[in-house]
Amino acid sequence: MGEAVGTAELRESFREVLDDIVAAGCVRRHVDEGASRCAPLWTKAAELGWFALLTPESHGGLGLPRAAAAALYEELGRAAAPLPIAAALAATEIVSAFGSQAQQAQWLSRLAGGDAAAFSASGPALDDASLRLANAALFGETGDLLDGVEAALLLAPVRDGENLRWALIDAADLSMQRIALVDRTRSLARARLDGAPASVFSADAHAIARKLRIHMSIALACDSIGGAREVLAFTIAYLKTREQFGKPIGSFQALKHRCAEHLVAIEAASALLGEAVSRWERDDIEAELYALLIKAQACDVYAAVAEDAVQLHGGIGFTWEHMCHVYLKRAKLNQVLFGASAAYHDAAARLLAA
Amino acid sequence: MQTFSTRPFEPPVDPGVLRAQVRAFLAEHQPAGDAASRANSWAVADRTFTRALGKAGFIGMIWPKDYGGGGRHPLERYIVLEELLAAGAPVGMHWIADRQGGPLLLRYGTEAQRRDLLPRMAAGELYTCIGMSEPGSGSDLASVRTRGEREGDHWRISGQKVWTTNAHHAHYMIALVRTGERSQRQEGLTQFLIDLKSPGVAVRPIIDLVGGHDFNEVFLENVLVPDAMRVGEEGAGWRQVTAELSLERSGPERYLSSYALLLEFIRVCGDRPAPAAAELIGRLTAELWTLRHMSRSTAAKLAAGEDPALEAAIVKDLGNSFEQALPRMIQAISDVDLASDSAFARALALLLQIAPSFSLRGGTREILRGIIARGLGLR
Ligand SMILES: Cc1cc2nc3c(=O)[nH]c(=O)nc-3n(C[C@H](O)[C@H](O)[C@H](O)COP(=O)(O)OP(=O)(O)OC[C@H]3O[C@@H](n4cnc5c(N)ncnc54)[C@H](O)[C@@H]3O)c2cc1C
Repeated sequence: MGEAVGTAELRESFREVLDDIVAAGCVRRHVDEGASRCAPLWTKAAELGWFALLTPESHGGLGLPRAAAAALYEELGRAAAPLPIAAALAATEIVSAFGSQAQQAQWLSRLAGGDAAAFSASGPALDDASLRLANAALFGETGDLLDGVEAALLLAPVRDGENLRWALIDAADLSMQRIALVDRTRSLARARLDGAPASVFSADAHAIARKLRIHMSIALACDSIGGAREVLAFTIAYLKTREQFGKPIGSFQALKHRCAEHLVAIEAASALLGEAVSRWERDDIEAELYALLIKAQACDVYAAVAEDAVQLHGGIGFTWEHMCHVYLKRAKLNQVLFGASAAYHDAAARLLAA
Repeated sequence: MQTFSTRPFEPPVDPGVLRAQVRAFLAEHQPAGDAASRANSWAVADRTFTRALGKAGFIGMIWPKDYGGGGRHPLERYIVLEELLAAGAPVGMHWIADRQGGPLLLRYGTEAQRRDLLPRMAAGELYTCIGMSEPGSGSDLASVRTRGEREGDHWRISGQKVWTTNAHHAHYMIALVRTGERSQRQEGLTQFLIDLKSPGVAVRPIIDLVGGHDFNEVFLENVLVPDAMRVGEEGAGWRQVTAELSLERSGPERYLSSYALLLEFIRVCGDRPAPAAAELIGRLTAELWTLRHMSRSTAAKLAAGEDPALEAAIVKDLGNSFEQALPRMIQAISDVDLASDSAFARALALLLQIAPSFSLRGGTREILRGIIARGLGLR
């Protein structure tokens, strides 16, 4: 499936920047130190306007099609990059689509300039919304905020009496507690709100949740395809050079057939992803169904490839020093972020039956 | 073509009495811990526990009493291992001495080696590690390059071993060394017990993907090893090592590494598990039961003096696939709380990370399949 010329060029530019970041050891150091922010990457991304990809031109953004974001997510996955940008771009979409003028004026240029956003990654369980609104101030706790401590903006469903609404909260007005994850390229956070001022959306809460879910499903699917391709590539490179029994282990059929199977699985998922992105782009009626399916499919393929990569590498794949585990842990986390595969299959089945 | 014929598991004692003894021992000595600390427990080293276990007579159980052993039947030992592993007891410290070091000396060692080492091993005071793999020799073990040259009544040994589990705790490494003049492949390999305190030995940690330190690199530079520490005949190393590997592959540890997670899963599911959880528990239990029968049958064959190398490879391959799939299957149906610090979440996270190693250690899945295929007459 060919991509539009503009997107292909953009992808190339994302890749060049990320290759430099990886070559400079930034990802490696980030993982080794368990740091929370990868400053060189973030600064570069903000400078290059990555956070402004989807921001309308009227608000100083690039106003690019969503395919540009998809290409970025895939390249970030390829590099296993610690950059909390997907939630920022998703928030940008929400504020652009549903925000009042005041909300747009307050947030769009900040987000475009490189401020991160966060919302709960435990799936859009709107019914469990735990924050209460009273006199335009919020009270309560909310958890599973992906890369929450990095965020300037929190997006959360809140209860306003009987009503369920989404709200924007300035992270400066609340306290965040970081929860480290096995996957060190990301983290979670819990937020406590003790009267933080909230700016509430008037739009239907379910419509917002749906948009966020589609965005994050596609983002994680892209991340997974990019990661799976990279893992397969460096595994194949290793199989060509590692020798046992006097020949490269890649010449053993048991191993090369598995690589071929992984490629088939990645290409199949990638084709479905292309379809999902183009439906998302067009706001197609089935965009949500495709997004849900590809989230489950791509994350499962990534996890399977990353697990087998350890086996294909032998002992070296089981070390901290090798990159296998960085991808394996990212793949495993992708599988459970915003709900596990089974939940996605159920949701997709419900859409099909509807 | 061979088939997997089973042999009944008939220990000479009442298993119930023995199990009760082990459980009483564990109640007193097993360190407190949660499911995560009980997972993969044969890789968890704990000197205090090992000493207590030795004192209670549960190490070297089947070695002759003359050498500090228990003079018990191999199937009694099997029962004790089942109990220890099912309880998730930290048996890593003495595991290699009990499973490989001792039996190796009993088969091939000199009288002096047995008298010197076996009683201390059985007491849980002397530990060994396995120095087979090298940077260039993993699956192709016969290509090892660590070399030994005879110098009077010593050997001068130089080379490098890698992935050496517990080398940082062990007193001796059971090393596979090339000693033949112009020897090729399987010929000319000899086993030595190398005292890891000898001058010229350097043990450096390798950090694994969890961030833990279990295995090591061991550098040997002109290490002088007395000929008295050679194990078996010069040049017989390959034969000895292959026999050792089939012992290594046949125990209950090859399917129980994830067992602690299964127990914890059943516990958190409670009395009324959701239908999908109930189905999974039933399925895993059925597989576990089958594996247990196959493993016990293999143990019975070994005890009867047969050489079930093929069966051992089959049980290890099946067992590894089971213990590897278990965490994945549990994850797939559980609503894992991402930020949770519960015992269940931690055990699951740990096992999801280490499961890939189950089909690497002790012979990779691919190598085992080769052995199974050879058993079918396919070369
Ligand atoms: C946790 C752990 C603990 C260990 N502890 C010890 C220890 O205490 N002592 C010790 O000596 N070793 C130990 N090992 C090493 C282990 O035995 C080796 O990792 C294993 O034999 C594979 O060797 P390798 O790592 O060099 O991989 P390689 O041999 O390079 O294999 C890489 C991949 O190629 C495959 N392959 C190789 N040859 C073939 C073929 N002919 N056909 C098909 N596929 C093939 C392998 O199966 C594997 O998937 C340990 C390993 C692990 C993971």
